[in-house]
Amino acid sequence: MVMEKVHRMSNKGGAAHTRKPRITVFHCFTALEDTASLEGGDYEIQGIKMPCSSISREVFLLRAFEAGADAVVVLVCPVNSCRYVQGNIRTEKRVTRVKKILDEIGIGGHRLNMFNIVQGDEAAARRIIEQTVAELGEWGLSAAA
Amino acid sequence: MPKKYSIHAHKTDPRFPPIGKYATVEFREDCAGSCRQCVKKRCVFHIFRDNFTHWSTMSEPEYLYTCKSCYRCVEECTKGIFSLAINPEYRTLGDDYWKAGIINSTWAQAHTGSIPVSGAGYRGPFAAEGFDSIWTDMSEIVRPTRDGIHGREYINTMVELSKRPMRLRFNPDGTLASEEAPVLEIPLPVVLQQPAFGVLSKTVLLAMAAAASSVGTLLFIKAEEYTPFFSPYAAHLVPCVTKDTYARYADLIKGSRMVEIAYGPGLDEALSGLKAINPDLFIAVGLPLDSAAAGRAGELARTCVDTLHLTGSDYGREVGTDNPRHLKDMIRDVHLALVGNRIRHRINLVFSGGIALAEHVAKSLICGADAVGIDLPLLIALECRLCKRCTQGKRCPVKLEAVELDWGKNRIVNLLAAWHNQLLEVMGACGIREARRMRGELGRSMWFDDLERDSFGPVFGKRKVTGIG
Repeated sequence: MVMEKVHRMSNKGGAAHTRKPRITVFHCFTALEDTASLEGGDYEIQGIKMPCSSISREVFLLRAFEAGADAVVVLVCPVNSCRYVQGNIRTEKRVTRVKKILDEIGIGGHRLNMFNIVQGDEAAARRIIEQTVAELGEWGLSAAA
Repeated sequence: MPKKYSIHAHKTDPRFPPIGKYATVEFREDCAGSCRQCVKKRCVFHIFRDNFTHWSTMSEPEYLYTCKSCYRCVEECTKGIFSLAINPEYRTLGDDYWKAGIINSTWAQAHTGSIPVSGAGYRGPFAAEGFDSIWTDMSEIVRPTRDGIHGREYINTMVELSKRPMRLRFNPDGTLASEEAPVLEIPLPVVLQQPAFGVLSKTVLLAMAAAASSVGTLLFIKAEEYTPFFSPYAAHLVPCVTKDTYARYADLIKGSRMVEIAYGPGLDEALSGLKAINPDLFIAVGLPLDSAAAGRAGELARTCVDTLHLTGSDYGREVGTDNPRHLKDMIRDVHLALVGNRIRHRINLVFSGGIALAEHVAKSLICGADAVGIDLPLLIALECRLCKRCTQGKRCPVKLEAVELDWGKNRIVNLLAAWHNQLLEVMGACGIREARRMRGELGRSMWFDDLERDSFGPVFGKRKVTGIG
């Protein structure tokens, strides 16, 4: 149902888009070890593993959209649980800045979101991805992709 | 003085950013460059500058992990915003035997052609299993010659893979009376071998053949892979056939110097058949490195076979058993069985499977091999990550199918150049000037098992726990 909606939304312009939605997941190695467990749905996942979410610079988040992502999800450790003390705080500030840029350039800041997840909570990560796919049904696929 | 053999390396850049070990994490928010002494500008390896340049060229989000772990930025940052972390991709690279460090170091050697140097010091165990339980005796390193082993001092790494005449006869005037037997020599005790898996496209195999030809060694390749494209390198190819298929490749065998035939029933007949096709042919017999290998080697040493090519598992272990012994023990078994029967000089032994580092070459020779065969390091030199996705029909993450011939050849030649230089270093330090003299030279090595037994056995008795650690 959701996928039909995604395809319907993406066909607004008249072009026949039949591709799956693509979600790029930036994840701190401590928060989520691998994105392999998130694969298998009717969407494409590109996982980018990082030793700490604090190295997710603005340019990387923007490049993900340029490379064809319909949505970007950043998974970080809960507040006060960062192995590097302030890594997730730094990430949050960067994500906020990039959301603003995405709004300004017309892609939409809502396509980029950050979530705090407890270490190894794959069920939560999967819920986040499913929620993002459902939201893509409302937004349609990215025009930049 | 004879011309020295050397392999000329040409720096060959990787096509994809290698998966490095370390990353610099900037984890604090209280830096605004206000101290005006930013360590990012002072990194001697230009890591921060390279990262900055990379951002503008990357097509997808892709981190560079090229930090050399010198800790300068961590130590000198006035705000203390840096920390070093290990790249999570690096942790998942390779497996228990083909460790991330081995793969990473092989990439570096294929890139530069020089001996790898680790910057953060060695923090591994004192001894480990397998080849890591052997130490070469480098006592001669204390008195090097004036310009060293890369200067005028001559160290010969050449080995023969053909039979040698047992004795020579001379005329009264001192000239040679016996007929000169043909000799098959390779300039370093390493032969190349077609890997059992991987994206083995035509260009990948051609790159291996071209590299073998360039350094003067041999490539053992399945005869069915041979196409006319390989003809420029025919002198350096060893087609691998079986007793059922060799007749089909008669033309190829006629143009080859050596051929490998798989061990099996009816081998004698096949050997006669091969000699009938090409009387000057050198013959290698390929057989598995299992518990029967030593017995079979003794049997084959009395035939016209020049070389035995014994292949263990990719993890340097005996095959065909649930409790496999390590390659080093298997080499010693086969070598000593031949020595015990006084027929070691009649045959040459090449061992393959699990040769992952240059030091494994020297240690295999010390255990009794004449030469070793390498397969997976060739793939790694071409940037293979040993992820084995190709075995599941998935796409190769480094697009091995798109390798260019010259690039692939240069990478493999660079790897062999680095290994050759490391072999020279070990031989020079051991005081051995001939690779042939290194064969079975256990006196130039120390074995952890023996040292532990001799030193601590009288105090603590026999080791009760297997393994080292």
